[in-house]
Amino acid sequence: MTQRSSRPSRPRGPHPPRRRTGPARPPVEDPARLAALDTLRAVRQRDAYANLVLPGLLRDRRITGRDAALATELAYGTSRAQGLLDAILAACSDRPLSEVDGSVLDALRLGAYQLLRTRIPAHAAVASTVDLVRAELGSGAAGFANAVLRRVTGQDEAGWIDEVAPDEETDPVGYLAMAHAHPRWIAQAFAEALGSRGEPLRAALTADDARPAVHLAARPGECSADELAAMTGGEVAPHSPYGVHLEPGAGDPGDLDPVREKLATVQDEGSQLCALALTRAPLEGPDERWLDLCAGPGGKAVLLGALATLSGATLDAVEKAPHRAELIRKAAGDLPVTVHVADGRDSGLPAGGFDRVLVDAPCTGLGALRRRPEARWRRQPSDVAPLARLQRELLTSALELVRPGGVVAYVVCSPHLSESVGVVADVARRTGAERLDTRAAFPGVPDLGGGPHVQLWPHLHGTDAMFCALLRRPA
Amino acid sequence: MRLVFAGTPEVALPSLRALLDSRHEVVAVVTRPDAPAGRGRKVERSPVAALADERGIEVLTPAKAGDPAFLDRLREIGPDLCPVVAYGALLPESALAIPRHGWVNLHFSVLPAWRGAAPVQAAVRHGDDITGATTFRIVKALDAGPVFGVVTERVRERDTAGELLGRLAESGAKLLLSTVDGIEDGTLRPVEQPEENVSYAPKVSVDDARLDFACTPAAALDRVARAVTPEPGAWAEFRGERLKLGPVTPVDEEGLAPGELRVERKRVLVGTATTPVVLSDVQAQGKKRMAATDWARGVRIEAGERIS
Repeated sequence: MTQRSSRPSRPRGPHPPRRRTGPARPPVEDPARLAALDTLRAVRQRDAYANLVLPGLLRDRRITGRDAALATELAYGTSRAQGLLDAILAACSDRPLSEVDGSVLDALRLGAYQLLRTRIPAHAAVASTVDLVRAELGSGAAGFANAVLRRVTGQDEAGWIDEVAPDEETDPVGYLAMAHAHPRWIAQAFAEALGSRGEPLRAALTADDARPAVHLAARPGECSADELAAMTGGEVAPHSPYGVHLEPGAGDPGDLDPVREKLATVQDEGSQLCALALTRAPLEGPDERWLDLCAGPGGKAVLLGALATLSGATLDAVEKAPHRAELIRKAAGDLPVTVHVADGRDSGLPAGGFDRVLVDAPCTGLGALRRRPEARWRRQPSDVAPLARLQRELLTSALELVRPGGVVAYVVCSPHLSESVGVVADVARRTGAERLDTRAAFPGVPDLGGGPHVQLWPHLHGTDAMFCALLRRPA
Repeated sequence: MRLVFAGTPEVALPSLRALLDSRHEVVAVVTRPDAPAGRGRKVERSPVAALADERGIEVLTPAKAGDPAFLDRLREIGPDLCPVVAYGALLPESALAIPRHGWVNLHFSVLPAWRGAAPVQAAVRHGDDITGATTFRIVKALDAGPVFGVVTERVRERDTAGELLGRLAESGAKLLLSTVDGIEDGTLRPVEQPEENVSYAPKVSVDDARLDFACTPAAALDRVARAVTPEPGAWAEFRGERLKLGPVTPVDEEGLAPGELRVERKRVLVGTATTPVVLSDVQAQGKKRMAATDWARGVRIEAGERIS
């Protein structure tokens, strides 16, 4: 005889009658678009970062494979293109976008992105978006969304750009900014750094608007770029001896074995090159004490720490925020890295105590926009001046901490002249520091311009638009 | 010796069987966690786990090989040696240090050629005449440890990666068993790999398996298609949709533009950068795999239509 479970069984008999609640509404079975929409909403309502919100949503809702890829493409693509999409939606709406409900606007952006920048058929893009709006906000809003999106289908992206962008002849920067979905002031900053309002600017904005490959850095002494490429199926990077590029959209790189086993980190190839430049600058005398003055979250500190191990040096890492300092400690593991919680402008470390110092200064991040989908629409021109002041103070502090004859690398992930050339020129003038030809520390990298500093670009180097300048403290 | 065997797919089974039937004792297996697979994404036990279940052996499935709970359990078990065949994840040093005689890997190439995840596919793709299997001690660097033994195997003219791997799995199992015996008897002395002529075989992505009829000579298409059969499977685009392809055979004829299809009574030909190739079987989206001739009749190919 088998024993019955003691758990009470469900009551037998017919199910209770179903309650009727108004007209039946089909449930939205579209987890990918819903996740994209919820991401856009989080970005709009609470200033969230799309690339932090979405992976969590996908994990919690167990969205994987093609649905995850679609959600990622839609959430990031829509965030990136927002300004262009808004200009087109404004032309298709009979009321100003500022009066449209925020959630409806998110959905309209999502729908317009699908219509203009993906191969999703128009009817599917419209119907799925209208369904999302109806499920969340009712049929009135759905009717409005339907009408607006139908008007968007009237032209393709190029047609709309001709209609909403400034005239290409009289305002080339404004035109390119709209056509490549950048705020005008950022396109202007790129143009000034490139010294061009023509083809180079177009190429830079195009590359900045494309989905970037994930870059990995093999940890020196642990594994080579060849090995890392073999383990991940990626390609050995063209410029960094430790770099590997993965295909765009290859999934969460944090899940890769070599990353989890700390054989590699996720790091843009440009960041790798700038950290390497510090170690490659010629130096007379001792070369044992290295310092990373703005170390959080620790990518460059780990690379420098591994290189320090190989050359018998040690690295001190300064980070102001305690939780970020903790991240560096964890990431550095058993590397010869000492982490200090302090403000880089007033670190308490001994003046003249270091042979090489890296200042990877806080900046607007205009050079890394392709990796931060919504950042280009959130940054303001007014962010630049206070950051430039902080940068000057940090660089000045670095030149005090390095010994006479020692080298400082000043790095920002921004091509904005106020944050790059302007900071270096100003500090060099006031401290008497010698500006070195930084190009020599980027061997084999093409298109480095007239020097003495180095500006990397997505369209020329496949990296973020990193700026690097090497300075020597006078002996 | 007390062994803990690490492996995951089908190809590891001949080795596991050989060890189970040997004088050694397999006390546990380590395998990748159950993963959703196939149509319907049903969660399936790995082939190694299934065989271990059948033989009543403990199965360990750490999410990563550095998990403290896994390392603790491995220390409790206290294996003398851990043989590995296609486990599918990296082993951290904390795991490498546990067994007295370390970890021994059976790798399907003659090292130092084709280190990495897809050695057999690389051998077929590059047209190697000879390949083989190697047993070596696992060290931190990828497939770089000192070698215990090697067997060689000829790559046959029509071999797919799957067929070749099947033969290597059998001959490699014998090599692995004799390696384990030799380690116990103290008769084997591992030899460091040479530093020159190292090559790498990254895992093959779906993009790598696309056949580019326009730019690739027939002989190379033949090798690529065999190299990616059965995994991940060759493909090309036809009428804007993905079409999976089996192996292709070059023929010494002329008269087809690159990518152009020609349907005959018993053959379907495609033009390449050089001479045409004959398609074997194909699988359209949402359809079953079928002979290329049946497919071509079904979709009614028009004169001059292309595959790309």
